[in-house]
Amino acid sequence: MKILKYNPQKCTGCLSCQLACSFQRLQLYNPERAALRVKVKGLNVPSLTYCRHCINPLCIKACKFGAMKIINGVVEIDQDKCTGCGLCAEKCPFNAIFLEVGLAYKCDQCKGEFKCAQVCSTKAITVVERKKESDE
Amino acid sequence: MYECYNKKLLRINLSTFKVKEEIIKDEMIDKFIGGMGFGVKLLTDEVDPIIDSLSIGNKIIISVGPLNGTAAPLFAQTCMVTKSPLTNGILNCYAGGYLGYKIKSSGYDCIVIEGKAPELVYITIDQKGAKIKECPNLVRKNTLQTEEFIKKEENDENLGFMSIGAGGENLVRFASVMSSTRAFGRGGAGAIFGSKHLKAISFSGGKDIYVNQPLEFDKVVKEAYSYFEKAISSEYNLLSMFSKYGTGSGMALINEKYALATKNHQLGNFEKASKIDGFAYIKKFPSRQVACFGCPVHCGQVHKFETGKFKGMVTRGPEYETTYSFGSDCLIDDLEVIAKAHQICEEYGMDTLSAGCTMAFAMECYEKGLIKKEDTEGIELNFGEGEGMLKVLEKIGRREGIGELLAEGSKRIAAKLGGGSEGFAMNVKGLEFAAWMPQRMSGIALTFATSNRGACHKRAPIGPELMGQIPMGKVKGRAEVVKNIQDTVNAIFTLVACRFSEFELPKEMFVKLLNSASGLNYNLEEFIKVGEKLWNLERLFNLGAGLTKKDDQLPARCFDPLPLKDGETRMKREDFEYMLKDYYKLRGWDENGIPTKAKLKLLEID
Repeated sequence: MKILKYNPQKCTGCLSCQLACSFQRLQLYNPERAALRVKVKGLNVPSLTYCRHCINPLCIKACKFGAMKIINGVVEIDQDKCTGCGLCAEKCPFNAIFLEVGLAYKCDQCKGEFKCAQVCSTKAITVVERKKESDE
Repeated sequence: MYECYNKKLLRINLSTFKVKEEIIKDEMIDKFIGGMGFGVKLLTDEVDPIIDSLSIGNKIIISVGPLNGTAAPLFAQTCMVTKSPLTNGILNCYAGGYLGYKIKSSGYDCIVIEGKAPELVYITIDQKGAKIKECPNLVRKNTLQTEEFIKKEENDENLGFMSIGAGGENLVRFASVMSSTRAFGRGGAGAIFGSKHLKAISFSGGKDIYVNQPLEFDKVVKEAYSYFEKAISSEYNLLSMFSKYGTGSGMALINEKYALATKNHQLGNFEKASKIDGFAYIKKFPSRQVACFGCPVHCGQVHKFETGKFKGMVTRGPEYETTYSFGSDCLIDDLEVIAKAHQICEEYGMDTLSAGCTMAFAMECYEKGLIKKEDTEGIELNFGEGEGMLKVLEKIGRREGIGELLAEGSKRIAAKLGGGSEGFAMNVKGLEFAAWMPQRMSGIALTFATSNRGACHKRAPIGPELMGQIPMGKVKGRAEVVKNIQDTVNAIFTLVACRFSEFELPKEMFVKLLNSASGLNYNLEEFIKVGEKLWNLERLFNLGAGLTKKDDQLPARCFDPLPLKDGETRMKREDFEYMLKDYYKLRGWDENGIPTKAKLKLLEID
């Protein structure tokens, strides 16, 4: 199972990951509609909000509509069933689920393409094999 | 068609507090593309060139282009066009960071500011329009404090900004407009903000940005990326150096070639250069790379001064040009002092290039007795005097004591002091020299002399001359090189590209990106012709403002002998005049540098 790894010291704050993510999701550019978010505050080291695809995800437990499931280790939202109620987002310890009108959305690893990591010029975002012991 | 445009212009009148949204017509886009194209077209249409730049009739045109806000790499910049208080001519200046994307995603391609507010105001812009708000509590606040205040007031941490500090409010002629730590540095746009009592503009963003053919565009973006990836992974490449060590890393290369302006351009080599270059900062202080929006080059460097005389200071930069202006040009070999000067300039909102170059000029005047100790209120201002320099710099920002004079910039100071100082006031048309030496690089000589905004390095063939692709001092054929780069850079500034993009991207790539994002059908020749058209529109504005052939000249120092490692070199006046004559001819201008009717007809200028 592959997941994202983030090294804030390497992050330049360019937001290319968010551009790539919004394009992958919607075929448009809007970093504020990406499923991961770099936070840049002044000249401080940035931080990244992103989904860990937890083994026991609290978001799935919170969903009352059966709209969330794990497919090959990837936590996904079924857009047809999602009502955008926001319960999953509330429960996510990483704040990595985002809401739009009538819809929640999150990282689905671009079906294995990891576009965010592909465009990261400093490799601040990389794709790594999940260690077995980690259980987020 | 035009998907990547908002096709909206916001006109804000600070005298009447009226805000009007206007549609940007297809014809305007077809002819002027965006960015600098919109700025130059609107300013030359709407502002009488003869007015005083600081008067109510001047306007500020802020614009983005078709590629800003998309994933196209190195299109993070924003363009601002106004009449410059330093040159009296037309100014276009640029800042990177996140601003371009914030403006575009606020729903506008262009913002026109006109009139003058009775008291200090700031403007908030979002997708619904603009609001003008009085802000007496922001008087003389620095740019960072201003941004923080507005973020709190508007309850939005993620705003994009343009703001001025005391420099702009005090009408320092080289005041900058800051966007966080990025600067609209050159030409004094900050003073125009100040003259209109405009403290800041915030942009909230949030809107989706579309392109004409998303999948096709995505392919072109990837192709563009590949050029930068290749450059960054090369060993001998300027962008590769910048990406690892910042723009200051180029200093050794330039110094070796005796082309690093030193001691107010008296020398071309600074023996202490290695103490202040990009490597020196990284070696001495914890540093990390930062980038503008969507940029894989990440030429920015954040330095944390954990020790030393300015313990606790954190800066983005100084950039290469600042290590020249406050460093080699002032004979300052203390990197902490240079970083502090850079920070003072950010806080007051002043151009580090003009401020440093004016400082070097003031130091020489001090040395020659044209500025006396009683003028500086006892502050020592000899070359190399770091402490004195920082004190005087703050006085400039406050227009206090000697600062009142120095805030006028080197050209006006020389006119006042006389005593032959015009010959070593290193400016063209009033804009102080960037880091490069006309004595060493003939393309720089001609570019500085002929650039519409003054001694500007943005349209110079720096890369080819520095990296040895064309011989540095050759004069034959150099006019053609310079004309081509001026037209090309103007064309890519309609897309508001970063200047570094042109180092690696073939010209065709700019056109490909433009066409696939917009649905327009430009070919390369037409695209470059837009750049040439803008160059001529700017020239006509400058002629209308009273500038003449005499303003296409270099200060006398450029023709003095310049010591080299062995012997000396000098630029001959006849060589310079040869290039200038050749240049006018190539441009289709008469012997006085006035565009001919035939040329204007060819460029479809009425």
